[in-house]
Amino acid sequence: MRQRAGRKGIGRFSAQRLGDHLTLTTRREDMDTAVQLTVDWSQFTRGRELSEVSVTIETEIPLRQTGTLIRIQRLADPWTDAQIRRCWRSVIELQQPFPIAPVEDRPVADPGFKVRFVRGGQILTDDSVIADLNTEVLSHLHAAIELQVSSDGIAQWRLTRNAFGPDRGWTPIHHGFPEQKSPPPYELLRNVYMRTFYAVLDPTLFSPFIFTRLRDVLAEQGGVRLYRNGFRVVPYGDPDNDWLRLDEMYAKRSVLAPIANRNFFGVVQVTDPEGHLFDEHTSREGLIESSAFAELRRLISSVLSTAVLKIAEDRGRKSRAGQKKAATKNPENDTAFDEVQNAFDVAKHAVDTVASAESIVDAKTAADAAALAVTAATRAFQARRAQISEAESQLANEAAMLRFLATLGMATAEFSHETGMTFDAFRLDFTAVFSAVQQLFSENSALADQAQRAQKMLNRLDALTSYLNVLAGARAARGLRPASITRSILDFIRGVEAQAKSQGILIESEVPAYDALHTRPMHDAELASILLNLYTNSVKAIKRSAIVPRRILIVGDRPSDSNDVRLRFLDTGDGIPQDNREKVFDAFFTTRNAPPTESGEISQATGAGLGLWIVQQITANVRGEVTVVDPPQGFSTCIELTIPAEGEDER
Amino acid sequence: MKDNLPWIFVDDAEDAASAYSAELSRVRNDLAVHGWNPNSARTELLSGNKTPTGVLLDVDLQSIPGELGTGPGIAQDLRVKQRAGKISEFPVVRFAGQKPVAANLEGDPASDDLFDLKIAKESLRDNLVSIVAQLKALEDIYGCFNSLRSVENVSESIIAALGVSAQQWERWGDPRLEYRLSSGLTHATHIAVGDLLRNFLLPAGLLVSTDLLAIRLGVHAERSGQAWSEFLESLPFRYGGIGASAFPGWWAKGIDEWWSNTFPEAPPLASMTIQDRIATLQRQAATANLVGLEMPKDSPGDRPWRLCILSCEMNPPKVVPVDPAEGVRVLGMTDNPPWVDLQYAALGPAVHRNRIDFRLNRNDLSRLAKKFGARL
Repeated sequence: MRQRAGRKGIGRFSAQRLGDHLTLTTRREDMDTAVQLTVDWSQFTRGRELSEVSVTIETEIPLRQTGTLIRIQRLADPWTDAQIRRCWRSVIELQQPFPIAPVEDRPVADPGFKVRFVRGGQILTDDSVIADLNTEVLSHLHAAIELQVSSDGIAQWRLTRNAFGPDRGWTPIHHGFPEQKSPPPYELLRNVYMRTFYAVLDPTLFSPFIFTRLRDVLAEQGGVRLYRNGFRVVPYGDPDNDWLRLDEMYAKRSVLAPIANRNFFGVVQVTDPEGHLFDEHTSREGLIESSAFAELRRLISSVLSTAVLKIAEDRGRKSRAGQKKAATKNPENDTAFDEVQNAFDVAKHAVDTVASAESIVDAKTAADAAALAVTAATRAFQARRAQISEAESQLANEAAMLRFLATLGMATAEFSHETGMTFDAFRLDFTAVFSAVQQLFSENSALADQAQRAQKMLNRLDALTSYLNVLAGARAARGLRPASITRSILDFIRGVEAQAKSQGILIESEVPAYDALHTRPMHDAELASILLNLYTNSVKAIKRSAIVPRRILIVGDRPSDSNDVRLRFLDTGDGIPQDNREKVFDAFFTTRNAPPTESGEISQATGAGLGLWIVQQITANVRGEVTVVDPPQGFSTCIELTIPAEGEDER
Repeated sequence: MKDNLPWIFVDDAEDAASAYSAELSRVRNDLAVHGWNPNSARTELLSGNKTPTGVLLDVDLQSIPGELGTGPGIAQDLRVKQRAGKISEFPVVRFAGQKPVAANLEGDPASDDLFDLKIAKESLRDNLVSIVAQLKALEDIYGCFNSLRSVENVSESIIAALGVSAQQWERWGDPRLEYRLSSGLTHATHIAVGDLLRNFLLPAGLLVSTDLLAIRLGVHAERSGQAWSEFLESLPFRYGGIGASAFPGWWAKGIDEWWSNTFPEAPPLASMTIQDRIATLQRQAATANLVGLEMPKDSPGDRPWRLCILSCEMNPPKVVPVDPAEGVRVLGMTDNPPWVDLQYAALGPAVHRNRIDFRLNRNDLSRLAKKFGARL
């Protein structure tokens, strides 16, 4: 049953402002005929008793469709299409724009509104649809993201209508447990439903007309609105409201895929008739920041980030395939340039012919040939321009991503430098305090335990800062030259040994005694970066796995059948499924769910599925290859990089 | 009115200086360190108003607004004043983080002679006790050498200070070092102290470290455990002179002498393989339980006599024995006197760092690469 929206019963009078005659016809699904209300506002004149004016209610009215039809006639003003469109947008503001999935399973529940505007013509059967949510917005968007929290607090999300790749079925999620495939239920959230449509606002993905309209609609209406018990709660989802911190996150480039409010058009619905979980401020300026509301925000932002990264991953794979082509020599470009050149030649010939033509026939023949050539060239040129435009857009995205990663790297280096300068001194004082506490308060076992625990945590922090310092040092660029895989492995292990040990991981190497394994020219820092990313991934995989002992082995050698040098990174983690062996090197591919938007930039970046993509990019850049291969006995994962060895002229 | 002060640590970070000072003062009651800012150090120390027991200097002092000087700059001022006799002689030690040192001084030996010792702040973590012992030893060395400047027969006194008799010095020492120390004392105490430390106590040459002693004898010290400790106690060529408590060492020629006296039928130690060396030692009851050393796979040869300098320079340092016949010579940034051992690198680390370390002898590398199939 639909709950009453208003309280004072005056909404019906708004129709009077629009036109003199109102007909409201409504037919329930379980009825064959409709009920019709007719109001003639022109009879409500000053000085006349209300009881003298008849407002008719008729039953048994035939109506083809179920639902409600409001017909306003004898309009007070002329209405243009643009005005109707504006009106439609205003209605969207008020109404939940589309029903959310689980409503279908509850026939007695409010089915929601589907708003259509119709301009009545002289012939009633020839109505033309002026504005419709589906035609205006939804049909052009690239994916639908859905979320549901069951009555026992289990949250699941799914991705459908994905224009860039496969759909993803219902998957459990909990923002606090991003690594877990079967996370625990939410403490407070129950019966939450969200459906949000998503678009990548890239002009190359739409026709110019659609893009402009969509961009304007989403700029004004984009975002995720909150409905409580069927009614909109403002200001969540208003143009200047960033309750999910999507705009903030995108502005900071914490998540590199498009994830601003303007990329979404969606609804989240919570049911809380008693107002126990989601209570409004008395000023009606939003909900009180309760624990349930905090859970809701984190869950939704985590779902949206996770979905957007999946979409970006699908989209990236597609675009990179094109880029590879562009990076090498693209024969299509050659053909296009040849056609343009040919058109110029033919046109020039035509001009010469026309200039010296003795007959109009000759001139016309030359001009026709030129026109044909120019038409073909224009077509080829436009096709190439679209491709180049898309490639440029992808490159711009990648450049933004690399700028962000570089900033993050520099910030980390600066942080390690600053902490390195003071940490040793800080540790000395802390250690002295701890031992004094243990001596002076030896009888207070709780305090002694606390001091001991703090000392242990300090040691762990100590290992981490040393590790960061070593890595920051390794990342200093020292020019392009053959890099030694052997030395990089040995230096890297020395740097991370303490950190690995603090995680209970034994890290070892196998490298040739008398071979530095020099690669073709690259930056030393790039090898350090490869090792760091592989190591970070391995540590996460090992933590997810129950295999003991925890081991990492880094092997450097030369395959016997090629002129390459090879680096193999083995671990005892939870392994990479066969299906994911190629995907793991795609940008944004990750098996974990994204953290909520408020979790900070580092957290967003480290879980974004960029680590192995960076490995792949660096390796590809030196014409090497990186693959997941079958691991030898005793290990669950083996990532193998082959890089061309240095040439005689590269030393 | 002159005041005598404890050790002074000159640093630009007041809290950090206090923390380091407290840590250094924690180990022994007779060593105290106070933190000072650079300005106070210049005013009080260069004027001679106050005389510290010693000075620890950070390198980069510029986190103080308006401060443009450096630790080595203050050290140079102190040394000039000390040489001129305008202020007292006391130890000057570089005490700085590895990064500022790398950024400001790496590859430039210009400031090496200014400091008696160079200590990395980071090393306090694992070596506090030995670092404090070295600072105390420096006090003793300065005290001893200050007094030697006024004695008549300096040579005899120097030899006595080194803990050996004139006969032992003749067999184990080198007259050129004796001359250098005597000559240094005629100019300034710190000049002689510098020679003592940089050319005698710290590098392998006349003295060798316990690690190198084990390598020369072909013993795996760690695996030998108690047997090695007991064996060391019995050896008659331990260095016992000035600074011995903080700079433990063994007279290098004493090892050879002891070997030929103990095993008169055996060839000279350096000419024997490590298997023969340990086998010879194990024939004696007192050394029967010593465990033999094995060469690491990246250091070829079986007659080790040197330590791999590249491995010593790693962080953390690693003890890798080198057979000089199969090792790569490493040139120092400054010329060492002839009684100091040449520096070597094991072939493996040398091959791995070949492209980035230009101290490595290219002829040695080429020869050994050919011999062992190494790729350079």
